Amino acid sequence: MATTTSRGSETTTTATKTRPQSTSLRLLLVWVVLIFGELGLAARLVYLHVVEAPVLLAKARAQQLMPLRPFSARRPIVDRLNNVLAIDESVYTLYVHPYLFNQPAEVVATQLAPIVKRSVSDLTQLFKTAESGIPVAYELSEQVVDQIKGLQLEGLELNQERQRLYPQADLTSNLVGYVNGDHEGQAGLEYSLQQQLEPLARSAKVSFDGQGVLLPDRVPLNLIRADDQKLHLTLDTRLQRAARAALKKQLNHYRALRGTVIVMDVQDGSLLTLVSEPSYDPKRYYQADPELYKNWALSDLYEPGSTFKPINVAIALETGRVKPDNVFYDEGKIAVGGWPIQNNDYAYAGSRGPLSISKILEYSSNVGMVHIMQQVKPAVYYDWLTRLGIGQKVGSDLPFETAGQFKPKAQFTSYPIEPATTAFGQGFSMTPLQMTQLHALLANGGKLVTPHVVQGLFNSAGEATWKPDLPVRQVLAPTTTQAVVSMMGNVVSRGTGKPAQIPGYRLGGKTGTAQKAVGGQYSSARITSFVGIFPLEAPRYVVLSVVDEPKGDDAYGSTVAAPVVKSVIETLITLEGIPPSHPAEVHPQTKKQ
Amino acid sequence: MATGTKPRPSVSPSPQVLNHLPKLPLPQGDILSGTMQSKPTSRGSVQPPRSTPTQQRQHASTVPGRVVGSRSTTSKEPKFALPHQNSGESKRSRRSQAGRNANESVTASGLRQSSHSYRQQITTAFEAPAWLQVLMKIQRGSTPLACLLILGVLVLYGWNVSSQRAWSKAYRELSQLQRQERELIAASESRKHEIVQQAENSKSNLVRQVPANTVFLTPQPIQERSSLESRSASVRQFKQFPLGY
Repeated sequence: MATTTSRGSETTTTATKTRPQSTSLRLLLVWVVLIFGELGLAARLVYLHVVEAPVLLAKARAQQLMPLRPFSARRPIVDRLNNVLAIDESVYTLYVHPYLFNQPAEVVATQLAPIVKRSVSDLTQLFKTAESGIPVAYELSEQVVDQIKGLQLEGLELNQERQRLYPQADLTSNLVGYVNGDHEGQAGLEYSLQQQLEPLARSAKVSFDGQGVLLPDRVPLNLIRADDQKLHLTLDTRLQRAARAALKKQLNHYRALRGTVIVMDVQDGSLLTLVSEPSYDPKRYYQADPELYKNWALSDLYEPGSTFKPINVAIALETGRVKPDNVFYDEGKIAVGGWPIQNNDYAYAGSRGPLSISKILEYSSNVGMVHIMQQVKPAVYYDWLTRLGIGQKVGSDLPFETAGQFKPKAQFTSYPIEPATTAFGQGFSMTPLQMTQLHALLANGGKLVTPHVVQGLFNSAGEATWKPDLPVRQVLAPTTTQAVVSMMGNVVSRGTGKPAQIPGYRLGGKTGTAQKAVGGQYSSARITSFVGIFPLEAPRYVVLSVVDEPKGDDAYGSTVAAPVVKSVIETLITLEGIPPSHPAEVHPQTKKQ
Repeated sequence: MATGTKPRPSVSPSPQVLNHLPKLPLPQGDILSGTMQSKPTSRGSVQPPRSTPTQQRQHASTVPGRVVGSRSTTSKEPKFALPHQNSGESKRSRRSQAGRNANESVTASGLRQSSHSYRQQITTAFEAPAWLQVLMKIQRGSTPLACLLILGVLVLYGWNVSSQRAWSKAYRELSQLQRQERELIAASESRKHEIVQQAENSKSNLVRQVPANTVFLTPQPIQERSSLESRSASVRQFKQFPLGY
């Protein structure tokens, strides 16, 4: 035995020769079957991964990925001091699918009724109307939605929607406008800057895990980063409120139709205030008169009247035909081309005799103005008026602006009555905003600025991502405009602008009382205005107030509109902290002590 | 050389065993006297556990006959290093002795020369071809590598899941904060408007601010140092602050 064990290898080799052939054949067969099986699997693998790949991938994606749409808010609108004028809120609409209820409809109604503030019977009736997709409540706030979710009821669906909130209500609705149910701007800046206000719609297909937790693998970065841009306005809400209060007081007192106050910075044309009364609440825009949706300060035309006289003087001085110390004879009543022209106060003042240009402005003499402008050739006069932009749009960023109406050149040059009436501000029309722009031209040394209310889009770091394009061009010489502004100072200190005086300060101004043209004929309805330039020594602001159809015999620019301007400038002084130029006048009683 | 000596389960191991066992410290002195001192080993090999003198005496008392024999053995062959007189040790030696009788392979730890001259084949393994040896080496090396990789995968997976959870938590917090910011702004702005409306409508004694009731102050020039220093001299007198306050 020992030998066999020690020679085990030898016994094996001798035994191989005697193994039957079928074993090796069987082995080969097994090998072949296995190999072909492997090849078959490999072929199937290749087929699935290469040929069917796109289809299978699409199926997998459709199953695994769901769209993620974070709450993308329309950009807020803020004023100069970061007070919010328009901002988006997240609200929810509750839909109900009764076929998915796992409790009786009455139970669901009982639980929902106190939260959505409807009666149980109402809700039960509502649930019977359809199998699914019944709207139950709109504009639910997020706290209410938390309560509804806490009920843990089946068959409720909450859709997130955006709602625009206007905290200042009707104070700035003429500028900001409103959005309709589809969250599209329909008026004001919401309409004209729709593209800047609406961020790009962001949505991505992302994956969730088994418990519904969001997995970060597929979430793109731009989806996470919140859009923090805001539209900054040049508006000052405090001044807007003060101006509106002052205007409303006069509107109520004189039972006027409507009114507007515009405050503009003369250097760059930015509007600090634009009040137009009456106004509407943008949240309930559907209840307001559609006429109010447009801002009448830039969409309605009016004949400026005497407030245009300083600009005519500037044109005359610029042409060189008239010097500041020239004297003209004021007859009080003349006839031009067969048409009679007289002063406003001809009835009791009559002819004033020779007047300097400053005096003509102080008395607001129509006849004096006609004589001044007769020194300028009508064609040259017309060209200057066109250069100043009369008959064209101002080009501001607010929508629905109207261009002024102006006679064609042929008519203007042929009939001498045309330049005569233009000399005292009638016979053509413009918007109040354009009048403000022209007075800013006088105040800032002859530059035609673009009135605008938008500073631009700023992000939270304070960087501007978009700014509007605002051209500025020089039209008149600074010496001319300075001469005119000092004359306007005389108007306030000595002339018809006395109601606008403020102790301790000096301002320039011009009253305006124009007859309104109704049905092609001048009627007894008036439109009164007053424009102020403040401070007189170094003008920074121009304030225009226009009151349409004040009733009463004492309804003139000096009585109706000038107090509004005075009140607005007083508020402006305290807000901006402008010290008095003549401090002695402020507290005369203390000085005596 | 005595080959047939039956290994006794006692004190004296056979010389064959002695040949292949590591050198151990020779216990000095008489077993019966009880003093056991160990000589430090020259080879630094394994020190078997020493039994106490009482254990030895017990052991010796159970087999009194053998003790004599052991003494005689030790006196006969002093040049052999005796292992420690321990029962456990002798059992082990007996087993190894049995194994070694069948085949004395060359792999024993002892460096002594075998007294047998032939080798016994104990395996039927054949010498593997080179490629198979390489594969075996690869397999041997890849097993720990695979274990390491598996561990690494588990760690990475755990880290992946935890980072995803942390991100989701942070995202939830972010949306919560954004919602709170919206609510806060809406509430504060509405409140501002309400306050102003109240001020406008109420018959309270609120007066509009006008230049007439506004005080304008001109900024004064900055004081020179000298006036300050003269003032501080007077302050120094009050170093000791009054305790009354």
